[in-house]
Amino acid sequence: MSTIVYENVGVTYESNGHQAIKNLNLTINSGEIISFIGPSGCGKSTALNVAAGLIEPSLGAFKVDDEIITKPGTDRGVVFQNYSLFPWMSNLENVRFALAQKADLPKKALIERAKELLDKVGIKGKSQHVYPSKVSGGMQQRVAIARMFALDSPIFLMDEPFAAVDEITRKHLQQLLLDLWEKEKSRKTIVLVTHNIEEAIYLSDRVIVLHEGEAILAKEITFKRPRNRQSLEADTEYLTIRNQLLEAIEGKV
Amino acid sequence: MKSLRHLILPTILTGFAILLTILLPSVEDGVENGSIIGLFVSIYVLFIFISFIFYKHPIYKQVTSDIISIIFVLLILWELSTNRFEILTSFIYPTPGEVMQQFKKDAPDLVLHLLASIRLLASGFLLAVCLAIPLGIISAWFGRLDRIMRPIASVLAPIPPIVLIPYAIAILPSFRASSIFVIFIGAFWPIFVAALNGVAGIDRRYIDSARTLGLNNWTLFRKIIFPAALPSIFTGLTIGMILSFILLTAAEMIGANAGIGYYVKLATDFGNYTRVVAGILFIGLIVTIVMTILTQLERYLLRWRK
Repeated sequence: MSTIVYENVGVTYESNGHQAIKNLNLTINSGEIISFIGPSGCGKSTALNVAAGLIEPSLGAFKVDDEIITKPGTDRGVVFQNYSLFPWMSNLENVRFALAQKADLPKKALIERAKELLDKVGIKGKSQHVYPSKVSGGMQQRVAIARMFALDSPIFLMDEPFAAVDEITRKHLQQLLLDLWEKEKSRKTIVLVTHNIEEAIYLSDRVIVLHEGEAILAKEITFKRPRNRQSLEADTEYLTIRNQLLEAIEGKV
Repeated sequence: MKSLRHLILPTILTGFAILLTILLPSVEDGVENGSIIGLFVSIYVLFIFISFIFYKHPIYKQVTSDIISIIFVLLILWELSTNRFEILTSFIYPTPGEVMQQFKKDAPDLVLHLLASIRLLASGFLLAVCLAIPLGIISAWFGRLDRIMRPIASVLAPIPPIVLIPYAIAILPSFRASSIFVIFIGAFWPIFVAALNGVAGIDRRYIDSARTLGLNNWTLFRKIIFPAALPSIFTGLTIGMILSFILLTAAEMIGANAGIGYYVKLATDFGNYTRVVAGILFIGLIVTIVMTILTQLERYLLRWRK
């Protein structure tokens, strides 16, 4: 069980007094996928950083299973917007390093497991052994996703995870995430930050639109899973939801 | 043929230099043409060897060729102005051949002096490395310590450590202790400040990323903080090493009875300028070798950079 609760959460940055989040109230059920969506500066990344434990709310509380969270922990795996791989470790080493923090396995088993995870996200053969700086941004993001998988946390927090990758890779990685989520008996709770409406609808059970630090719309997405992209896009309900979200994002609510 | 084009200029200059040596009468009787020709040939062989290392990099090959050519031009000018036309007084301007001969004669002595110097340099420098890196990292990590150490460093670091040498010799029990102390002081501050800045400048993303992996403090230090600060630390090591050499030779010229600085000082006192020039060139060679080793180490340890 991993129920996430934002309880009257407010975040004001001390450095410039900017109020990034105002009074956010949100309960995310265990096993649910939700997306924060909105224009840049709407507070969606801040909301995710609160969940990651990297930013402490100035008001209210953030809780996981009724426990107040103020620090990062391995119960929440994070993929950052800018990959944040450690450049002095090879791609394989990055994943192995994350694995080693969670699992007490002999080094050989860790390496085997890390290789499997990298294979899964499509980083194969020689690219596993090179430094992150030697591969493209899209590939680095895949390694970052493999690293998050390595932690196998009950909660996944992903900040624009697919923004830097091309269309085909994006679809592949989205599918990979959904496969992993659907297969597991105890489903992971996933919080996603994105500015891509189609991605938000396709992946989420709920889409939260943030505007200037406030949740102005929480839209349930009730399409049956597994979802099919083509039939979804032809659905009139899909188009209605899409337009509704678009209007909310543009501030016409 | 194109791959050999960089050989043309140095080869012509070598040939020209040898021809001049053979054809022009020399002023000094004592020096054989053999040793000066030997010098030209060994530089030329060294050049061929270096350009072989860089055979894949046309730009490096070109640079080596250009630098070697400049060295040859300078050598030829030196030889012409001293040994051939005696434009420069032979008493204070030794000829290249004389310097070469002095080198050969003093080689066993020079090695002993070098060993004495390296012992001092290594002790002082390594002591500075071992203290400055951990102290710098720790200071940067604790905000309060950082705010104390920065102003202290900015007041103490600019004091030229050379002015400490006579006093250090006076207050410390041996010359060895005082020169190690002065080298330590000289190398400490640049490395300390580099480590401090290296940690302070670590990209926030790496720290956040590390925190979400739930690392303990020791792993965080060893696997994240240290490697992230290493590029900056290396700039400190380079400056520290250069300062160490300056202080080493300065200290040796003031109070030692062995070492490469002492060798040059003693020769100056006796007016043996051939030996002075040989000593200066030898020190230049040693500094170059040490700095090259440091650069190669840096290149290896930071091979993950773009």
